[in-house]
Amino acid sequence: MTSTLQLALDQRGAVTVLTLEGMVDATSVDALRTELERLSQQGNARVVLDASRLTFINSLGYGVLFRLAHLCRARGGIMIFAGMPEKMRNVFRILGLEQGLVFAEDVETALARAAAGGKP
Amino acid sequence: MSTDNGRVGGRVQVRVPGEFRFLALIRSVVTMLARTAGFPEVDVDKIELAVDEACSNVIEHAYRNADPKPAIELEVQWEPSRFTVDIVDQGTPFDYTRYTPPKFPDHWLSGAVRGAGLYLIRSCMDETEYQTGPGPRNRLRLVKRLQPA
Repeated sequence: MTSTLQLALDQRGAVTVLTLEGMVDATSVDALRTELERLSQQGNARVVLDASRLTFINSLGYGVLFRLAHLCRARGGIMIFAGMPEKMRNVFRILGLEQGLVFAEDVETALARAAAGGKP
Repeated sequence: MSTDNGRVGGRVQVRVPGEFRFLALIRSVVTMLARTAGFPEVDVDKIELAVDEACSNVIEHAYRNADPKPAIELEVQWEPSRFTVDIVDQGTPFDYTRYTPPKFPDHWLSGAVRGAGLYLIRSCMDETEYQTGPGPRNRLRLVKRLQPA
């Protein structure tokens, strides 16, 4: 099956940058879940998720992203959504979850914030 | 696909294989038609998400035991004040009335990642209606009201 999603990992010091490009839908959400579980099991608690090239996320995708953000926070770390398109932030708002998540304008801003332990 | 476009409305019918790999095609068709009807992007996005969730549910649940999986029929109609998407399947009916939306974020904090699909469908659309029959057909009607330009 052709995947609608490309994933790329980049370690920037203590922060893991996960770049997602394309669409998170029923054909690709399992790949995303597997990658996020792997990151979590490796103990990565500081994660920047570059969402600027995402064009769609389904409900399962929102669930797995929220879950990883929660796990990072539970470990004393942080997950920052960088460049997330407004259409997706709006869904987090609909779900009432936006307040519990951290967003940054772009990856560089997110990296600086992650290095500072989440402080703006 | 069949179309019947007028100046103030239109009607499009599409029959798509009931497989996940065709969800992107369904989203493309519906977003194009929502833009044609005159919705702002924020509403186009909501319609796209609702239709994707509905069709994903058909493939995953209504067609779970079907082999081969039947097609999904999309019937899209719009007029100056409303945009209607009928999603017709030939699978196992769903008891729509028994659905209780989960509470967020508690639902996901408990470890679940499923359960938001129907909640989002209802949140993104203005009206939803589910009918079973006649015959082995289920119809989920999604309506988005359209503000006059």
